[in-house]
Amino acid sequence: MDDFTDFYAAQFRSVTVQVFAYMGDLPLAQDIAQEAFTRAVMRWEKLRSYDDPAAWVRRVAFNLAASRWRRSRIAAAYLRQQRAEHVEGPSPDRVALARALATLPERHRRVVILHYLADLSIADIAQQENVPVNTVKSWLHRARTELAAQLGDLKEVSRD
Amino acid sequence: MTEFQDTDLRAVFSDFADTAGRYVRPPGVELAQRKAHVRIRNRRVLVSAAAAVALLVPSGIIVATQMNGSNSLPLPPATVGPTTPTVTPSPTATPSPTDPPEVVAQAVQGPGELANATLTLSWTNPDAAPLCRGPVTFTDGVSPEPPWVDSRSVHILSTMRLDVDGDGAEEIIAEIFCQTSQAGPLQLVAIRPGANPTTLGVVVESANFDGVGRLDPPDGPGIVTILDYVGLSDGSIRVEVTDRFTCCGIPVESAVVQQRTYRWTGSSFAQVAGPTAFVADRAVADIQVSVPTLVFGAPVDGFRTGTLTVTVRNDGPQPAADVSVYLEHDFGIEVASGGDWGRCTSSQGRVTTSAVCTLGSLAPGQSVTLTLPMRRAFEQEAGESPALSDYTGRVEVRAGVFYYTPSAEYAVDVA
Repeated sequence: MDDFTDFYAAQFRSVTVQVFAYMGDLPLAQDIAQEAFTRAVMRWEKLRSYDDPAAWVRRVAFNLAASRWRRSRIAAAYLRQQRAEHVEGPSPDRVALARALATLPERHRRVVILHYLADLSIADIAQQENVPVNTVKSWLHRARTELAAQLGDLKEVSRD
Repeated sequence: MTEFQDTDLRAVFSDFADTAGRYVRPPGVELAQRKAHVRIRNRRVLVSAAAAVALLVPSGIIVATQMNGSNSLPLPPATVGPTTPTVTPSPTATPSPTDPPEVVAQAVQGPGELANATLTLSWTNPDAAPLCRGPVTFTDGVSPEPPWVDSRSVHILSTMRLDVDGDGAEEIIAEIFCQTSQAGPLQLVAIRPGANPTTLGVVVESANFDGVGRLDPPDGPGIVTILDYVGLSDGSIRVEVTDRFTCCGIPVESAVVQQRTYRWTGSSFAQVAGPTAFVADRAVADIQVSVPTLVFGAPVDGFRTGTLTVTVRNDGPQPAADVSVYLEHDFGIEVASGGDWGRCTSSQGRVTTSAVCTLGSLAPGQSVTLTLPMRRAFEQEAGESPALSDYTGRVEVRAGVFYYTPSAEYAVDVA
C-alpha cells in the first residue's frame, strides 16, 4: 500500500485544484478529492496496474463534483451571501480566473480545466467526457474565447 | 485570440494552480484508508446479512441472558454501527434470503436521452413546486428554459438504464431535482422510454431541506440528499441517502449515509432492503455525549479563551466501534492550540467551523473526555467591555458512529 501513499502525495493537490477551478469552493473541492481517493484505495489492487490511475481518480472526482455542484449551487450561493469571508484561501486578485471560469457553461468549463490544469490532450478529454473529438475542440474554442475576453478585459483594467 | 494569447492563458492557469495549491490541506491517506476499511466491512456485513438473519431471533435471547450474568452462551462478535441492523429489530427492510444481487448499472450524470423529453411527474412532498408536477417539458435537461423566474425550475441530474419490471426492456431511472427558491426535493423516477416516455413510478423521494443542513421534522430526520444509486441484477435499485445536506464547510462526515434498496412490485416501488429510518437503535448502541457550557475568560492579547470539555460514553451493552465526535461552531469561535485537538481534523468553512475527532472503540460503560481549547476575538472596537468575563459560545456536538453507518446512532448536546 506504500505506492498508494506515494500516489496520494503526488496527485491529491493537483486533483483538488482542478475540482476547485470547476466548483469555486476549496473546502468542498478537498472533500470531493478525498472521497475520490477513498474510492481509489478501495480498489487499489486493480487500479495500480493501470497505465494512469490518476485518470480514474480524476474522472471520479469530476463526476462527484458535477453531481454535488448541481445540487448544492443554490444553497452554496445562498450561504455565500450570508456569511463573512474569513476562510484562508487564494487572494481575490488570484481568483480572477475562478470568477471567469464560473461564468462558462459547465461543459466548456470542464474541458478547459482538463486541458490547461490536468494537461490532457483533446483525445484524452474526448475519452473522459465520452464525446467526439470535434465536440471537445468546439467547447474548448468557445471556452478559450470567453476566458480570453474576460481576462483580457481585466488586463486592460489593471493597466489603467 | 490576438490580444490574449494561448500562452497567456497557460500562464494564468499555471499561476492559479501554484497559488491555489498552496492552500490545499490533504486530509491524509490514513483517513481515506480508514473510511475505505469501514465501507468494505459494511459491504461484507450487508452481503452476509441474509445468512445472519437466521441467527437474529436467538441473538436477542443471548444478549438478555448475558446481561443477566449467564456466560453459557457467548455474545456474537458484533460491533455497534455497521452490524447493528443484523442484531436488533431496528426499522430495517427485510433482505431477501437469497444470494445478493450484483451491481449491473450505474448512474450517468446529465439528462441523457431524456434531455428534451416531456415527462409526467408527481410528488408526495408538498414542497415540490407546481411547475414540477404534471407534464414537464425539458430542454437540455432543464424546465423551463433559462433565464428562470424566481429560481424555480426542474432539472434532470442523472439517469440510469435498468430493466426494473423484468419484461426484457430497459427502463430509464431519472434523478429529478425540483428547485424551489434556495433548495428543493429530489426524486428517482422510473420512465419507460420511447417517442412519448411514460412514467412507471417514483422509486424514492427526498424531503425538502432548509438550505443549510439537517431537516428535523417531529418524527426524526428524513432523506435530505440522494448521493448515488446503482441498478442490481434482480432489477432493484440501491440508493445512497443521507440525513444531512453537506456543502460549504459542512463535511460529508457529519452526515449519516444509508443504503436503501427499492424494487418494482407491479404497481409501485417498495423498499426491500436497508434501514427505513434515520433513528437511533438504543437496544444495542447507546452513545451519550455531554458538554458543559463553554465559557470564555477575560481577554488576553486580543482573545478570550475557553475550554470545551466533551465527554462521550458508551451506555450500550456492546462495544461501539469507530466512534467519532463531530463539532460545529459558529462564526467567531476559533480552534485554539493544545488540548486534544491532535485527535481531530478541522475544516473551516465560511459560516461555521467544524471538526471530526476520532475516538476509536468504546467498551460498554467506557467514557472518553476530550479537552478542546477554543478562543474568540476580543472585540474592544465594537464596544465589548474587558470587564465582562462570562461570554459563552454555541457549539453543537454530535457523537456516535458515523461513516456509512446503516443505522443512525448519535447523540447531540450543545455547549
